[in-house]
Amino acid sequence: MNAFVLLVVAITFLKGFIVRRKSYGFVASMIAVIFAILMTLVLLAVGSFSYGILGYLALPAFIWYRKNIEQT
Amino acid sequence: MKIAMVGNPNVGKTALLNLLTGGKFEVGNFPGTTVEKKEGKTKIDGKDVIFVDLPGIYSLEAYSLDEKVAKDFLTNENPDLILNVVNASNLERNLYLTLQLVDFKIPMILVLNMIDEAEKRGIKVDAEKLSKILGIPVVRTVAVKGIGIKELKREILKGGSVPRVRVGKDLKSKLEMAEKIVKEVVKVEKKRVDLTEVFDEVFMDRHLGIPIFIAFMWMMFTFTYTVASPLTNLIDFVFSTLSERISSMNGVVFNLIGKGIIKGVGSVLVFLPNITFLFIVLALLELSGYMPRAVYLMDRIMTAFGLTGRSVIPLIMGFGCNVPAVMATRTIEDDKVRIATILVNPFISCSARLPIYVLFAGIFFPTIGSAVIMGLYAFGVAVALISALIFRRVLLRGEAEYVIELPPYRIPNWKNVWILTWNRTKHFLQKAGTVILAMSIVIWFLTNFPTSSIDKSYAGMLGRLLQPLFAPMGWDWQFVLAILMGFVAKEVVVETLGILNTPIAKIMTMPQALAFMVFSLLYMPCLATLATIKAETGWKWTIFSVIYSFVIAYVLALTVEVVARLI
Repeated sequence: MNAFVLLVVAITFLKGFIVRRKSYGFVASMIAVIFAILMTLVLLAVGSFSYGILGYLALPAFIWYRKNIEQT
Repeated sequence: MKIAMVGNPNVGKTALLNLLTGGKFEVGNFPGTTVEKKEGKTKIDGKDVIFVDLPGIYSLEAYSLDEKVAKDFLTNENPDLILNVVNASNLERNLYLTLQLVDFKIPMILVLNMIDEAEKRGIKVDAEKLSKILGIPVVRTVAVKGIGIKELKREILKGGSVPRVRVGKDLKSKLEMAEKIVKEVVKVEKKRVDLTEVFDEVFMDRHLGIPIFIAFMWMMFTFTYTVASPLTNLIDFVFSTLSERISSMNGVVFNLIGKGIIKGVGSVLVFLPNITFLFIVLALLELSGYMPRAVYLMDRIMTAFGLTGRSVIPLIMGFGCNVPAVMATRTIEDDKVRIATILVNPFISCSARLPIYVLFAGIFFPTIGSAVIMGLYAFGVAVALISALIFRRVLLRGEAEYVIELPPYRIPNWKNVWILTWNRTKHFLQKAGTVILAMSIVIWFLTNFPTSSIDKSYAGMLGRLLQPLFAPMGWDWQFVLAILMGFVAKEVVVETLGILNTPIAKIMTMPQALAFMVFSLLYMPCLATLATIKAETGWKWTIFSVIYSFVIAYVLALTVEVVARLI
């Protein structure tokens, strides 16, 4: 199911590129960051690693999209 | 001084009530959070004031139960003042109700709430002009931030004014008047992109909406099950140690306290972190405004099963507790849809059933516990929907339509998240201190008398007496006894197994465990839910609910056991 969340994030990003709408990138990066926070908590709680932690990489994208959407 | 708070759903009446009275009533971000009137008492400049928060309504036509509650109050209770709370972003629709309130000739104050959101959307309302047209004081507020409350209190002390606006009694003239007023007092200038539109474009996307919803649900269950587990282990350690220490002392009283009360109550309190974590996520989803989007996404599915989108909120509330969820069906205008929603609500897995899943999933599915629990929740929803379809096709036939309002997205206010979480957790703790405590003593007595050998105790006799009924599932009598006791409150299932010291892993197979979880999910609503169903629908449907859910639980649990065994 963790892979499912990552897949949803990836497809949402992809749809954003296809339809050229920033909203998809914004929401996808937001979900990626939320998931990364959750996976960090899981790592701390039970020591189980998930690649979902890499969702932090989407943080700059999230901040960028947030600014650009506000300015539009 | 008695003040009635009246307004459309989701305009912030309860948030305002909390601010004015210092109360801790639950606030939501979806229509229908308040389904019955709430009272809050306070003193303003030494004057006693009683605020009555009425359910959110669109009109006073009294089609649904909540509209009837509001209309009856205004007609029979003669309040001294009406606080008409309106959403500044959606003035025209809100004013329709305002113009209906004018007919009561009761002094009024118009509270123009959520002005911050309106301004963000480029909507400006001329409050002074509105006040002149209606002939009543108009106060601008942002209830969640406490803005405008001092001014509102000042106006309350002045007592408001009887509206001077002249409007016809019929619907058409009221609608025309609302439109005319809005043209005069509202200016719209589009400033920047509305974040609600941005989110909705993605969250309600035809292809991505449901996968995103499933992803959120998965995150919720991971948070509830996995992240909470260290705290669960810690509480378990504390209660186990305490129980062993006390019961090792000589004497019946120590045995009762150690092996009965502490072990019994402890076996339920162990799951407090799971339940609290679940409530935190539910509160975040509710307050952010995402929940009604879930309703919208599910509408096509709901319609296919004979329900309407309005049924979704009570069904989602059922994940917390079925009692308020059954009461929340009062917002459903169509009586047949309402009864169908009530009858299927107990299939939605409430938080009291979570301890059962966590216990069994931890023993039999340690690596895929979250997935098993999410699967059970999904299974409950599937059974609820199929049952709804059967009811609507066979017993409660008819067509139904509805209109759903999508509130704006909001960053959840931590105070409101805390109030929602605490009120629900408090309910769980209260149950632990009352029903579960009492049941601990009852079960301890049943397991220790007439002899302390469990096999020959009353519990053993009762369990063995009923065991043949569940023999096809292969459950030991201890599980049968747990199910019987769980009728009082579902947490008692785990409690009973704890007191009996049942070696679950040794006397149960994986298919039997799966069947047990399915049975616990579906069988009979708990006593409190049954009492609420009775109050909302009467005896006939309550008895039907008991029989139907038991039969469904039995058949499906048996099927699951057989299929799992064959696989």
